[in-house]
Amino acid sequence: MTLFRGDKRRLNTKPLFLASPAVLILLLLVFLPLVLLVLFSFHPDAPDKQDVWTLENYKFVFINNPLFYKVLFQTILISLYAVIISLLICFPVAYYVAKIAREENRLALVLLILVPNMVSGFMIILSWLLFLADYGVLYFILKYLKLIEGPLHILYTRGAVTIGLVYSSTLWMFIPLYAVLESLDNSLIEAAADLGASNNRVLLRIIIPYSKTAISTGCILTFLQALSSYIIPRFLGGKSGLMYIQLVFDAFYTSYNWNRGAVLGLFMVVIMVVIVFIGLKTSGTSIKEAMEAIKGKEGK
Amino acid sequence: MTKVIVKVENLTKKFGSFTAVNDINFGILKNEFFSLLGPSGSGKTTILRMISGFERTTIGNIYIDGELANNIPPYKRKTNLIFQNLALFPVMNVYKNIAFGLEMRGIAQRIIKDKVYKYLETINLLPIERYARKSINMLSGGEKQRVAIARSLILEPAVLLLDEPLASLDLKLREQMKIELKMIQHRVKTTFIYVTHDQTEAMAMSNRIGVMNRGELLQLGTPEELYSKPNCEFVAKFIGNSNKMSGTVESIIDGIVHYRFGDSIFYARAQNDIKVGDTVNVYTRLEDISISRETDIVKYKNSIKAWVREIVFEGNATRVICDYGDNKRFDALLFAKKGGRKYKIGEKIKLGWKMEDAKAFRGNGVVKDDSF
Amino acid sequence: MIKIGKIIYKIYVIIFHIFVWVPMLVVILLSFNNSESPTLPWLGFTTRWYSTALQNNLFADSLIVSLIICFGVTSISVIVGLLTAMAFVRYDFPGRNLLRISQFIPVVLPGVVFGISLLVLAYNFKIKTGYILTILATSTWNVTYGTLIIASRLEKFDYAIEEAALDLGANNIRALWRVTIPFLAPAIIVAGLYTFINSFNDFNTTIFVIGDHVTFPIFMFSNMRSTLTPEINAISAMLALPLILTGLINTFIQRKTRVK
Repeated sequence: MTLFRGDKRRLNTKPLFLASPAVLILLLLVFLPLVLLVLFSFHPDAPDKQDVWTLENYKFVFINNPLFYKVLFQTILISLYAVIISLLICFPVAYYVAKIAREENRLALVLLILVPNMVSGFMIILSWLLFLADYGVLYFILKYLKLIEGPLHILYTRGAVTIGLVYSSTLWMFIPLYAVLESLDNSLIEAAADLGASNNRVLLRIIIPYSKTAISTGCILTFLQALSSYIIPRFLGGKSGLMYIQLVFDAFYTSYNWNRGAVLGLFMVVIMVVIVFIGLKTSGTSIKEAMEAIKGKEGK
Repeated sequence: MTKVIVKVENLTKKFGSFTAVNDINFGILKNEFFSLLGPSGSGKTTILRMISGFERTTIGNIYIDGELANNIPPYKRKTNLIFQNLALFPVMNVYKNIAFGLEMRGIAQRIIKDKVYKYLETINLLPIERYARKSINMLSGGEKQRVAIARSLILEPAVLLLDEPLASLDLKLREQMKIELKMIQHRVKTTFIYVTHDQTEAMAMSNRIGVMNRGELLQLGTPEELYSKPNCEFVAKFIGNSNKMSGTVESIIDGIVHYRFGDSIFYARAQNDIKVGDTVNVYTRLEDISISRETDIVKYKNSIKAWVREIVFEGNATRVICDYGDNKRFDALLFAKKGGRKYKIGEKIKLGWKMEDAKAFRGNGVVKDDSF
Repeated sequence: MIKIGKIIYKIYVIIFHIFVWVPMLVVILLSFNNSESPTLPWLGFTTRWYSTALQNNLFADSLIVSLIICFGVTSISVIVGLLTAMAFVRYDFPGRNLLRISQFIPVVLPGVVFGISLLVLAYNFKIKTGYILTILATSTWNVTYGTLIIASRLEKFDYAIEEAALDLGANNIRALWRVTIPFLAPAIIVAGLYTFINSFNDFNTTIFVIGDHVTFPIFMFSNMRSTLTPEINAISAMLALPLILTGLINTFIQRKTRVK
């Protein structure tokens, strides 16, 4: 169904024209640079030797490099914590807003959650910095409540990074959950109850399986978000909260090992693909369904 | 001699391997109210869209007012189409909707305003000032109809095409609009080509009707012709309400078929080529059937014994649904003013009808048997 | 028992909502703190940090740089998004599904990878870093967002309306302009605002390809690496307002123009 343009079966060039800018952007700005990056990773780390092919960067990164594996492990651990905590925190709230709150209140409640996330990431970091600093806001509150005496030691730890990640990933976790839970027909729950299912059973056998896609999408997105978050570990993390992405940044900005940085960056993509794969497989969703969930996010 | 304003020659439309319209030929006369009647999927909307320019013909030619229209885009054709869902522009108010076509022609705003206001009066949307500014979604179904009609008529097209415009209206409104449409057509002296699946609409409004089924044009004629002289089983069944009865031909005399069903012989007028020994399907209109008590003497040539299965009150008439043996169904329509007795369910009665009121076709298997 | 459980549940949800706001409110509150430190103790109310912020040239310059880039990115994203959405929704062409899926790649890939790969590209082909490269880099995923937002509205478009316009005398272009584009207008606005905010807040990609210029996030980054004063609270607070407003406007446009 289109504007009048004659016989439908003739090969139509119009859509190709329309889609070409997008295609061009993808080819020139996404695929080409990535290919170049891959090639770049096979050159030695010296500006004058860029026509030599070598594996030395890969060797350097993967072999005999305990820091790399330590950071990798730490990153995955922190991200996993963030995902699980985020899921546990957000799910009840999503359920409440989607199902229990009254219809006219729902928009307000959702907005209340979304609005603080609309501000710049730096503001979020700043606020947590102030909050969790040794003599920060939380210290003052706890001191006032006479719960502690000395300075907090939360900042610059794994915990701080985790808190920051959980907070900034609220959007990515909450919205898919909310969208799916809202679409869950109340009569399904009522039918289950009518047939004798207790609240726990309803939760386990009906609600969670129904939201499987959303849970997996939310977790995957949160995990990816945690991996790609630079400023949170940079400011909240310190030594013990070091995350993988900082290695990439440092390679390009601090130590000027660009070729090694390329390897690190590419490996990061590999990790992400693996995460997505694992996430999709374990929950049994397909790529299509995940894409639908992301599109739903745009709709909200 | 009235001029042919739309001529359709060998019109065929295929979608891949599916033939929606198969070799249709007809001509529509100037100022005629012409209907294409048929069930969904019969191809009538496709023909309408080809005439209006939204579909290309696979084979065949369309002539509008004498010129070959095949390659003319819809915005240049002398036709205007009223869409099934009306397709009023949601972002514009009533005035802007009606004015749209004139704006496209580059007519001065002053003149447009006069014309639009005049049309608002014609279609009876008063007070004009208030309606002009109204947003489309504030209108009722009937009001939307009229805006859609005004939007097209203001361009004074040679031919107005209407795609089942009354489908979404409730019964009372539909009845009212049928009359209004006919009156509008007379007033503006435009040719109307009307597509519908509702035969009462077509019969009520049209000068001529083309009955279609599965892409074929079966019969073209005035409502009266279609009603009393159907040329095939489909038309006989589709127009009006009919009973269908089958039998084997024993003899044919003077165009009257004598056919046997069960133990008796029945008489019907042959509508197509029938030979002795053929199976015939015979159609009778419900209102031509008379009911009498089992013991009465029947004065009709055709009569059969049956019992009353169901009685349905249909407002101005009562439908008596009977079983004449072996679960075979035969209905009769009794009009209230004929007075007379009420029949009871289970009662044994006699059905009778004249032989002129029975139309016999050589069976071609197009129409399914009437049974419970 | 169930009653208590319900109350605890409700309290939990309330606490959650409060916690979501607390950090931001803390920052805003402390921007009025008459102290050299952006945190407690509270030493009195003042607005002087707002005046320092407004006089901060680096801050103002960074805003301008950010706005220029955002304008570029938004324009590209909306225009290309519109064209691509039309291609997807109205036509079937070879490679359609492939393009659909490929468009998701820029969204899922981390920004840092874009940053470094385009930096390497610039280095290899001797392209200068700066405004244009940054606009192009940031457009990659924003084009996808633009396409999704506009396509989602276009899918709900009733073609009969366009045909009606054609029937009434509008040629293809006029019909598009008078009927289809107005219908898409809310989606176009939403796409524009969304990509604007998105590109405004970007750091991970921008830092690599911007060269010597300083966008607002980069300004914040360097500012936060040195000593903090409540000025930074004031700056954050000032930016928070327009960002939140834009987000709310977006949400309301989407709700108001939902097609039944």
